[in-house]
Amino acid sequence: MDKEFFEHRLNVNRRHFLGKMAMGVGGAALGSLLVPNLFKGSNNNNAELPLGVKHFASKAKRIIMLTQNGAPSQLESFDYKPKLRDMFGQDLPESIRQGQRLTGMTANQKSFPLVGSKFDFKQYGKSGTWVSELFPNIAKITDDICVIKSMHTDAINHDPALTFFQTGSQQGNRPSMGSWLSYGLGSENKNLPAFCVLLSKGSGNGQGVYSKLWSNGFLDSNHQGVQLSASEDPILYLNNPDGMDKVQRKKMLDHLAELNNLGHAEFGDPEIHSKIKQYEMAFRMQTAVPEITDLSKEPAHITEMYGADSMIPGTYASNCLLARKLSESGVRFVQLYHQGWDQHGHLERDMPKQAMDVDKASAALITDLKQRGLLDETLVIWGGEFGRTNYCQGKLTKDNYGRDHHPRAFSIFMAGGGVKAGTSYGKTDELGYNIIENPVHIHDLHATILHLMGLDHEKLTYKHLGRRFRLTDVHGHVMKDILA
Amino acid sequence: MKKLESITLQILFFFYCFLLVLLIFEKNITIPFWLKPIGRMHPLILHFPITLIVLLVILNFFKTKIDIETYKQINRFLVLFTAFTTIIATIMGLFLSLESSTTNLMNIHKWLGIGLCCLIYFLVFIKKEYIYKTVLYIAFIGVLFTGHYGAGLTHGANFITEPLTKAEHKEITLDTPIYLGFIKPIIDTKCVGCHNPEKKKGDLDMSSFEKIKLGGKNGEIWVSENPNKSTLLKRAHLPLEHKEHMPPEGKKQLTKEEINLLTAWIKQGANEKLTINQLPKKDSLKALLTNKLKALQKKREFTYSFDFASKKTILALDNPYRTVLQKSPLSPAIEVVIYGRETYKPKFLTDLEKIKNQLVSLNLSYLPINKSSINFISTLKNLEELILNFTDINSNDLQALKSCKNLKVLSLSGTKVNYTITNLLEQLPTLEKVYLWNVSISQDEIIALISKNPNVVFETGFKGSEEKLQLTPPILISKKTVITKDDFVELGHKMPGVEIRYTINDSVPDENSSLYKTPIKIDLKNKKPIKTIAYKNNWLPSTVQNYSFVDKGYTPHTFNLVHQGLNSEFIGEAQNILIDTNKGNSGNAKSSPIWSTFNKENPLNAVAYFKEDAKKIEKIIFSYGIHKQQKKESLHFLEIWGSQGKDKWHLIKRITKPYNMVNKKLQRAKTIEVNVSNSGYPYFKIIAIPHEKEKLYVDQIFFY
Repeated sequence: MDKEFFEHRLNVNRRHFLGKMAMGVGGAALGSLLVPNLFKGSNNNNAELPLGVKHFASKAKRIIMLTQNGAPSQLESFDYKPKLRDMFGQDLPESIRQGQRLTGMTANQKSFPLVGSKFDFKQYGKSGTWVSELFPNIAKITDDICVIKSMHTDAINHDPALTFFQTGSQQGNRPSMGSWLSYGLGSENKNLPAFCVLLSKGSGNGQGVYSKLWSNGFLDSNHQGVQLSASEDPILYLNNPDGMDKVQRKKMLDHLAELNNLGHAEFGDPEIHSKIKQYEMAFRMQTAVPEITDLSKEPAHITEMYGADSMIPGTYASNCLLARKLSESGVRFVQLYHQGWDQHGHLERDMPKQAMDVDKASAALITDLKQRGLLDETLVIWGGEFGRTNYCQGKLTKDNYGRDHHPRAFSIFMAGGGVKAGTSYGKTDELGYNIIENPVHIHDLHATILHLMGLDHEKLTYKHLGRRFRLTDVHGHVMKDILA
Repeated sequence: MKKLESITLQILFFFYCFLLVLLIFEKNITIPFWLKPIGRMHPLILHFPITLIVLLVILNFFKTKIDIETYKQINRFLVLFTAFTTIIATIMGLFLSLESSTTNLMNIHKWLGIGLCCLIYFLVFIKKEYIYKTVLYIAFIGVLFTGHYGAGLTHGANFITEPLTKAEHKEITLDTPIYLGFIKPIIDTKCVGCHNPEKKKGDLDMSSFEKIKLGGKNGEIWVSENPNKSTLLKRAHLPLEHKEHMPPEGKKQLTKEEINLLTAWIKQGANEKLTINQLPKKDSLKALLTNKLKALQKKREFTYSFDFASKKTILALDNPYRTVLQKSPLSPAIEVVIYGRETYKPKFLTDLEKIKNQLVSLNLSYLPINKSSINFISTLKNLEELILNFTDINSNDLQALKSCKNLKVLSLSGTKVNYTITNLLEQLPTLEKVYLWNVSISQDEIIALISKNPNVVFETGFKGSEEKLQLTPPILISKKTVITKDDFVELGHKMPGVEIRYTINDSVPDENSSLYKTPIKIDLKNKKPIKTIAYKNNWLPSTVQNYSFVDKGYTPHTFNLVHQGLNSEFIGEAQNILIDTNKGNSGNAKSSPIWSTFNKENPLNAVAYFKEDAKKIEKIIFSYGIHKQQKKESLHFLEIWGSQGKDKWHLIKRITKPYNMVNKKLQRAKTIEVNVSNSGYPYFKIIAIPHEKEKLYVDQIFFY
C-alpha cells in the first residue's frame, strides 16, 4: 500500500512539476520575445555602431601623415642625448642592451661603440622643445607640435615595421589606417577619394614602398588608397576623350551603371557596386580635381613657404603643398612617403640632405594649415617606422658614423587635430636606448589617432573570416595625456 | 482561497522566470515602443511593495494581539500580494533602466531591487517563524536603501542634502577667490579625508583656511611665497615609496597639474582672498588658471540646448557637393562643408534653412559667395565656426554676421576684408579666433585690432621669408631631347615672373645672356648643350641646367625583334623602346620604360626596314648603358648585317668588346657608331650579344 501512496504522490508531483514548468517556460518565452535574434544566431547581434558618423564629438576631421620612410635617426632630430657625446667610442653596456635582438647587419659586430649626434641641439619656443640644427624650420614651430620621444614597435626591419605602422600588423593583408578611417568615417568630400597617397624620394639610401601599405585589405575596395602620380597631372586620365562632352559622358556612365546593376543582380558580387560608385566618383572628380591642382588661387609667396622645390612635381615639397590642397578639399587621409632615411653609414653626410628635403616643407604645411584655420581639424603626423641605434654601425671614426635599426625607442611628432601643442611626451634613458617614461606602442598611437578622429578603436570593427578585426587588433590604449 | 493561492504561486513563478531571462540577456534586449509606457509606470507601482513590506513588519509586530488564524490568513494574503507587486515593479524597473544609459547609482538601485525581489520570493515559501522574521526584517532594511537610491535617480543624488550644500556651489569666475575656486577643491578631495576635525592625522586639520594656517605637528603647510619650505609640497615631491610622502601610497595622488597650481599659488603669497583678476597680466599662475577656467566653461558648452535634426532631413541635405554631418550620435550639432567652385549653386546654401538651428560649423572656402549668402548665414543663430577662406567677400558684406552671437571662430584668409572688419568683430561677444592671413591688413592695423578685441586671438600666418631662397632651374617643357632639326625646344619655369637666360655656345649663362622668350630651334650639328639659368626678383638665381639634344635620324618603316627583352610587361616593348627617341642617361640604366634588357640566351636581334630613306642612311648608332652594379663591360659583340631582300644577309661590321673591368671614370652611357654609307640596303639586321651572365641594357638605335 505504501508503494501505491508513494507512486501516487510521485504522480501528483510530476504533474505539478510539469504544470509549473509550463508556467516557467511561458515566462521565459515571453522574456525571449524582447530579445531579438536570441535564437537566430545572427551576425549583427552586438549592435555595431553606424558607419560614417563619429562615435563621439572630436576636433580632428582629417589626417595628413608624413611618413619618413627608412627611419630618420631620433638622436639627430628630437631626442637630445649629450651623454652619448661624452661616451664617444665606448662600448654599449650590456645592462642597457639587455639582449635586444639586432639586425643581420650589426649582429656580428664585435663591439658597439656609442656615438653622439654630430649636430647641435637647442631648445626652441615657449615649450623649450629640443630640436637639432638639421631642422631649423620645424624648430620654429615647436609650439604647434607635440613630440613623442617614447615610440616603440615590434619589427626591426623596414618592410614589416612600415607595414605594422600603416596597418597594425606586420603581415601585409590588413587594411591600412587610411582605409579604416575611410570605412569608419566615410569620405568628407564625395567628389574625391577619401584616402590619397603621394610618393617622393630623397637622395639617401631608399627603401621600398609598396601598394600593400595603402591596401584596403578585407574592406570594400572603395576604401583603397589612391596613389597620385608624380607628374604635372597628379590624377591621370581624367579628361574626356576628344569629341565627348560632359553630358554624353554622364549618359554613358548612367547606362553603364544600368548594365552593371544587371550584372550585380545576376552574380551578387558587391565589388560590382563598388565599381559603379567608383565610376560615378571619377565623373565628379573631372570637375573637382582641376580646381585642386589649380595654383592660380595660391598667393605668390606660397612657394617661399614650401620652398622652390614645391614647383617640381614629385618632390616632397610639392607633395606637401598638394597634401594641403587635398586635405583642405576634404580628403580624409593623405599619406605621404618620403624615401631615403636609411643611414646605416655616412649618416653625417646623408642625413642633412634628407633633412633639408623635408624640413622646410613639413613646417610650411603646418603653418599653412594654421593660417587657414584648419590646423585644429587636421592631424599632422611626422615620423619613421622605427628609430636608430645609439651605437655606430661599422667602423666609427671622428667624422664618419652610421646607425642601425632600433625598434625600442624612436621619436615622432604630431600637430593639430586636438593634440596638445607645444609639449614633449615620453622619455628615453640618457643613452637614448630604452624608454623610461610613458612608452607608446604603435597600437597605442593607432588608438590615439582614432580617438582624435572621434572613433573608439575597440568599436571600429569589421567582421572577416569569422572574427571581428580592429586596426589595433586586441591592443592599444589612448594616450590621454597628449589630448588637448 | 486554496485555489487562488496556487494560481498566484504559478503566476509568481512565471514572472520570476521572465525576470531571469531578462537579466541573462539584458545586453541584447530591445524594448518595443508599446512596452515603454509599462516601464515608465515603475515609479507608480513601486510604492506598493514599499508600503506592503512596511505593513508586513507592522503586522508581524502586532502578531500577538491578533487571533492566530486570522493573522495567518491576512499574513499569507499580504505576503503573496507583496511578492506579486514586487516582481511586477522590478520587471518594470528593468524595462525603464534599458531606456537610458547606466550610471553607478542606477546599478546600485537595480541590483538592490533585484536582491529584494528574491528575498520576498523566499518569504513566500518560508514556514519557520524565526527565519521568516529575519528575512522580513532584512527585506525591510533593503527596501529603505533601494527606495533611497531610487529616489536619488529621479530627484538627483543630493536631493535631500541639497539645501544644505547649495550655498557652496557657485560658478567660478575671474572674480572668485583662487583659494575657494581652485585650491580648496583639491584639498577637499585629496587631503581632508584624513585631516579633518574628527580625524586629525599628524595633528592637522585641513577643513578650512584658518585651520590649515595653524599647521600640524610637522610644521607649516604653506609658507607664503616659498613653495620649497611648504610642508604640503615637500611631502608631495617625495618619492611615492617614501613613508612621509603625501597623500600616502594607495590614496588618490596629486596630479602634476595640481602640484603646479599649488606651487604657483603659494609662490604668489598663498592669499585666501586673491582672485584671478587681481593677478598681474603676464603671471604664470594667471595663465594656468585662465586655461583651467576655459576648460571648465568648454565642458559646460559641449552640451547644446537645441533639438536633434531628423535623420531624414540630414540625409536629404547630404549630397556629393555638400557634406552635412551630425557631430556625433549624442550631439545635435551639425557641420556643413560645401565643395566645388564650378558646381556651386546658391541653393546649396539656402537649403540649409531646414537645419539652421543645428548648424554650428560652416565651411564655404573658395566658393563664389556674395552678400546675400552672408545674409543667409546671419540667420544661423547657433553658428560657432565659419570658414570663408579665399572667397571674394569683403568687410562690408560681412557686417550682417553681427547677429551670429555664438560665433567663436572666423576664418577670412585670402579674402578681400580690410581693417574695417573691426566693426563686426567688436559686436561678436564670444569670438575667440580670427584668421587673417593673406589679406590687405597691415601690421599696424593688426596691432590695433588686437587692442580693440583683447579676447580674440588673431592668426596672421606666414608673411614672406626673410632670407632669399634659391630658384629651381628652368625645365624643358618640350621634354624630348631626341629631335629633328625642325623641332622647337621649349623652356619654362613653374613659378610666375621668372626670367630664363640661356647660352648655346658652351659658355656659362648669366644675367646678360640671351633672354628666353619663345621656343627656339637648335642647330643639331653644333652638338653643344643649351645652358639655362632662372632669375627672379628677391630670389637667388638657380643653378645652371644643361640640356643636350640628339638628332633623331631616320625612323625605320618597320622594326621587328626576335625577343622583346627580359622583364617586358607588354608585347612589343623593346620594339618601341629602341626607336622611341627616348634616350637614357648615365644614371638610370635599368629602369624599364627607357631601357630594354637582353641576356646571352635572349640576345638582341632586330630587323629594320626602310622604304624611301634607305639610300640616305650613312651610319647606325647603337646606344647602350652599363648599370652601376655592373663592374664589367656587358656587350660581347655587335653585328650589323644588310640585305636587299630578307633572305641573303651580308655582314657589314662586327665589333667585339673584351670582358674587362669597367673603369670608374668610364662613361656608363655608351654608343657604338657603325658606318654603313652608300650600302643602299633597305634591310638592316642588328645583333647584340652580351657576355656570359651579364645583362645588356639598350636604350636606342639611331639611323642617320
